[in-house]
Amino acid sequence: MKTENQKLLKAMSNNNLLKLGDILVGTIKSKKNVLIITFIFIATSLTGCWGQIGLGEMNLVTILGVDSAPNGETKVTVLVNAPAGTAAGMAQKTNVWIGTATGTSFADALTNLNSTANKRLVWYHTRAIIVGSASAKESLAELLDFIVRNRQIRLSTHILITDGEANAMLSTPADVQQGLAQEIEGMIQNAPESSKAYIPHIKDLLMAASSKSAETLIGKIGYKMETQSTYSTNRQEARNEYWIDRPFGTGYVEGSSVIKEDKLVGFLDEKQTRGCLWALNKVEEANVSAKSDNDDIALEYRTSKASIKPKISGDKISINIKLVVRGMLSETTANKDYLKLPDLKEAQKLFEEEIKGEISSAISKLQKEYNSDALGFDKTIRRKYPKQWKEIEPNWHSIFPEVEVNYDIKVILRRLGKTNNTILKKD
Amino acid sequence: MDKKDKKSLKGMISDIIKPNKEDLGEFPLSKNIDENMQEIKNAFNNCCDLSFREFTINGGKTRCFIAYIEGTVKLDLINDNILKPLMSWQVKSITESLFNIDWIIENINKSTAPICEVSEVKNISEITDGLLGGCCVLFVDQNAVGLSLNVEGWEQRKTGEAEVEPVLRGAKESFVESITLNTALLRKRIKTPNLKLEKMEIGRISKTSVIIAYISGIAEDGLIKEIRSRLKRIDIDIVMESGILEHFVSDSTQTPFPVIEVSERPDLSTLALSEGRVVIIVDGTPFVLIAPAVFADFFVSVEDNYTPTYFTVLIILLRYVAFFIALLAPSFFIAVTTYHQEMIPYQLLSTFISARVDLPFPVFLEALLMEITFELLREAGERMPRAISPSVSIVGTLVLGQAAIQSGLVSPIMVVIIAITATASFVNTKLSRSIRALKLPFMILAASLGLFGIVMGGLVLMILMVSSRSFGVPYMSPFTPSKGEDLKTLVFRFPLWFSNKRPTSIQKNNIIRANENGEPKTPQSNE
Repeated sequence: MKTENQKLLKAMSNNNLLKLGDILVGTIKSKKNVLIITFIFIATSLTGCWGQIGLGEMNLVTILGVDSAPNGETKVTVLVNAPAGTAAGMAQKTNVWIGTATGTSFADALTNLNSTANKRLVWYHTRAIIVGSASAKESLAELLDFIVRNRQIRLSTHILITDGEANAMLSTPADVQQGLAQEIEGMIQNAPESSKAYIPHIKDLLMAASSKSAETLIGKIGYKMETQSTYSTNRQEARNEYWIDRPFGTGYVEGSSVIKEDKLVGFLDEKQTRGCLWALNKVEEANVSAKSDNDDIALEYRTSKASIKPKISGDKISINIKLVVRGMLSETTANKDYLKLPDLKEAQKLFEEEIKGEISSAISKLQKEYNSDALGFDKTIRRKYPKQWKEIEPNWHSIFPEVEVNYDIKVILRRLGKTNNTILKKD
Repeated sequence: MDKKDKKSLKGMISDIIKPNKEDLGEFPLSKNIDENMQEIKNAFNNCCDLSFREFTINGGKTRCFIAYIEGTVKLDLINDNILKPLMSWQVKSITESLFNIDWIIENINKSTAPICEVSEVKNISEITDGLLGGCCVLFVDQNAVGLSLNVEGWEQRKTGEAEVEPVLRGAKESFVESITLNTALLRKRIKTPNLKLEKMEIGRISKTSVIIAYISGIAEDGLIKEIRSRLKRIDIDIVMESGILEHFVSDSTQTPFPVIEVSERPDLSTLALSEGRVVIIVDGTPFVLIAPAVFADFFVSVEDNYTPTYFTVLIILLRYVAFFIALLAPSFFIAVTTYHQEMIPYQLLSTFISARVDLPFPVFLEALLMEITFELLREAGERMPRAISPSVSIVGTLVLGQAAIQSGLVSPIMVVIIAITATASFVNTKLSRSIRALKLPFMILAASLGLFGIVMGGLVLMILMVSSRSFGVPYMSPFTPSKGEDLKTLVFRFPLWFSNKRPTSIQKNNIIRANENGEPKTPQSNE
């Protein structure tokens, strides 16, 4: 059977292509066909390039903000990159335009936005979608449905929730970079460096939303009012413009938002977020610091392996979180000799306690306060105990806060960096 | 009705291209020397380049004359090897001279005139053929037979460096306009009687010599027979250049790319011969035809056989990349900027938009404008007398390139795209005409249908390429039909110890061309 297929394929590749060519050549030879082909060509060129937007007639939406407006309306805010050319068409200048519009539905609001936009808005390069907490607490369903249907918004767009209004967040002045969008993009890209913020792609949220429980974590963004910041302008200008004691917003990306059934239920702080990431095995880079007596010691994370395993004994459901973290000692002032096993073990123990604290604080908050199974305990139980899960499932939300969580955390310090013990060590 | 018309038309053409054949006729010469001279003069009526020289031999007793066409003969040869020995020649025995006059001409032929190539001529058409071929004809009174002595000596160019196919490494001599020198250049490189050089004449008026060169035992008999018959089918008046024959012997008229390789390099021709190809040499042109040729042949230079393999492979791959750039870069740019802006990275799109904000024309028109401008410059550069060509480059680079951007007519990005395309099209010189011609349809397709159009155009092109053949060899081999072994020899040029087989796409007679164990080895330690 297989060999026959191969033969057929071979015959196709050798002969049929040649035959096809002969047919094509024959087609060209006949005058009637030449006419038909000509007409097809003319017809394609007469379509008027339907749906085409010239490069000069578009503006790029970089960030979309969503808020709720009074009377159940939706308010959208967009950060738009409107590039402007110079007379010679040589240098480039980018203007950032902030557009706002409200509408009865999300799509309606976006349509209304066009009445104030001077060029067609395109969504290919939307970097992030920021949702105001009030709107997120109502529902994210409308937004998610729109995104799934939309052809222009990429699924790799980041989604974040701001604790205030998205409109206010997008109105904060940009610092250093050429626009707020680039700045937020940069902050998002830096987030894995500390693992204190978790910003998934919109694809992850959509996948979670399409599952039964629809409980997950997404990004969080905020801004604080500050009086001082870095300046991209020269000192003279800065003195004139900003050296006044006037506060202005500075964005930051920290922590994460907890989603339950398409709604925002609350936020996790930085350490809790990292606790969740430890358990989900999503830490990319991290520095864990702990106190050894009165000295600071820090662990630079290298690799880790986490597993969440459920256990059902009788009526009692318990979850075992096993985590092995390997890392490097990145900072210490303690008068210890880490080449000796007792001291090394002590340091490892301290880090274990610290990491356990991060995870347990996150889980207790999820269990007791938000009742949101964002770490996906339900999935692990369903996989391991499919029969029992059928009984558990209807009451899961009343069972979840009572689930006992056991921690088995191991930290292995594998390196000490370029030196052994602290240079301040005094014997 | 059609047939009749065609027949009468054919008759007319043959009348045109057969001038005064009836006048010449095949009738024999007379014994009277004056009559013969008159015959030749009649045949070459109004031809000022025909020269006669009358003299006597045998101490003034026998009249003779020679005739030749000026410029086609070497006068030294005539002076030293014909006139000198003949004029001082004395017939020893009087009886012989009186009673056996035919003996004189035979004596001259056998022992008096030291000329390599001598033949007897018996009628006027043989005389004209001889004279036109650079011979000198000799007549002796009372002889109805003349002698045609080959003293051919054209003014000809010496073999020089190849101008169209320059190489950094390789022979610094190229074919010239003389067919005998060209065959000698091949003989010099292939010293075997198996190198066959079959001569034929094409062109009713021009009677151009065409030589089919091949190595018997390697080249397939079928191929030689096919080329022979295709060449014999050609019935035209004049063959100016090998390109005229190329039009006639190609397999099909629908092929988008050349199916016969044209070269002025003897080393490339040698390689082709050794691979079992046939080289067609035409008198009067340094460009020989090499057939069959496959698509991959146009991406290798003869130099690739001489240079280290690793770099050669990379450079050959680069040439394929250049082919796609030269063919598709403008159309891809048009498609992406007109229909598929989401494919452009954010920063680049932002730059594109800002560069295009104030421009009046759509991308397609802009590309067309620049493309036409470039083609104009290129054509002007090719056709212009050498002395003025620097001014073209000044106008092209400074005035058009710079000013087009500054006046807001085109965007700088478009200039970059056209420049890349132009540079890439210079890489594969033998394909560049085809690429230039195919570029425009692709641009139109891209402007009307986007990437979909490019894919459709690519499919049609691919079908045409796959279906075309060069003297029966599938044009796209060894890609399809795929022949792994031939990739080594036709696509890449690996050293012969690694690819010791001749390309089987071209011939299957005689495949092994190098010893299998020729691999370089570290010196064996002496025990």
